[in-house]
Amino acid sequence: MYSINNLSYNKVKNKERLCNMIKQEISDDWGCIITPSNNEDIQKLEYNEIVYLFERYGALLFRGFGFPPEKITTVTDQYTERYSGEAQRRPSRYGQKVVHDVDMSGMNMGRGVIGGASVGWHSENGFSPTWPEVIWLYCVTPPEKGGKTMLCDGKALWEALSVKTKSFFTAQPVRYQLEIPIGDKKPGKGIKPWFLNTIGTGDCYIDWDTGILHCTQLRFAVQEGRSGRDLCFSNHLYIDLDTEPQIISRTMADGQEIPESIMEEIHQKADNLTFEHSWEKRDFVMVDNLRFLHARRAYEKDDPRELLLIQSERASFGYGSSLTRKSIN
Amino acid sequence: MVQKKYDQAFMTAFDIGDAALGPDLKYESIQEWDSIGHMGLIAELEDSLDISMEMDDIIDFSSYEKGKEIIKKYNIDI
Repeated sequence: MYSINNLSYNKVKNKERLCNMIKQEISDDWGCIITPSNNEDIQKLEYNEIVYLFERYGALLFRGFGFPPEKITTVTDQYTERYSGEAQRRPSRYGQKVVHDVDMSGMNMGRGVIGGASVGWHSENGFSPTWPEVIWLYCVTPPEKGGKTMLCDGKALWEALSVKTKSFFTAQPVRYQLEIPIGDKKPGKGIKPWFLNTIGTGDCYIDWDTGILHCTQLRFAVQEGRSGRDLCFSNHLYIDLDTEPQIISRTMADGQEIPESIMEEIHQKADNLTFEHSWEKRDFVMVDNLRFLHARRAYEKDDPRELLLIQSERASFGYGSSLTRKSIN
Repeated sequence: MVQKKYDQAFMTAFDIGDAALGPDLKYESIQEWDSIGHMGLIAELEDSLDISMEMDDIIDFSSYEKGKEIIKKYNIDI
């Protein structure tokens, strides 16, 4: 287990000065801390370098840049082609439509995870037809006690799983039955069959009386990573359904439940690969949401913890565009 | 009259002004016109023009201009 607050920089595998920033790896394979070398503006960082580091390491912590929450989207806009639509319909923060509160984000959508309860491993909206490629977390106020964010590299987790478990998840996708609030009701309009142009989405209709979109989403629990050479275990298997009302049921595509022994193995191996991030004021984290799982440690109800979330449904750079593949002559 | 209702449906569904209406207004050209915003737009159009659109037409409804062609199929002159 790693913890940034306890991380001695002597342990850092590599410390390298890039254009106008200093990069420090958290581990050989994933995670990178980026700090300014001389009070540079985060917006002035070299776009291609950041894209490469993101695709290579999957999770970047920008620390020490000191930009205020009102400026978040001036950074995220550079790396975003499109923000998540679902997120746009939640209450926004700091005058930016796509910036939302992490810990209160469920309230408007009828979700149950409010306050300081722990939240299990998940990829943000990993069950949804619109699954954000990149998520961003910004720390306005760090928690005083508890409330750490945990990260688990889905690439390392996949490598650690047994062949039996891997076979189980490569053979068929997970089936999520969903009820997604669309933020608008039209009483008397009734049921309207619908179609979403996303792979794996079916049985779709809108109930305008309740303002709910009903659909099923088939999605493999494991995805091809940005390099094209690795698979990443990234999904929504560990969130308690009592705390996620949008998911009505969750089974494998053929209807079978995921065996308890498999769930236990995943949990145990994820815990062994856990990175605990202790927040500092104005920390800014960019996460490959199709690669990483994240979770939250519990914290006291009256803790001042304030984190912001931005979801980029599509990045402004191609999937794996910065990672060189072998050329064919 | 129909044109006014047509325009109003976009402005209501996406919370935009009339300056945003025109040939450049296409699916995903603005943040508000995404898959969920599309549901609201179609509902507004169906209610204000008193029509029920077929699924193929809903999917083909990819821009402000294309939409005008599509609603003509429902005997709406615009």
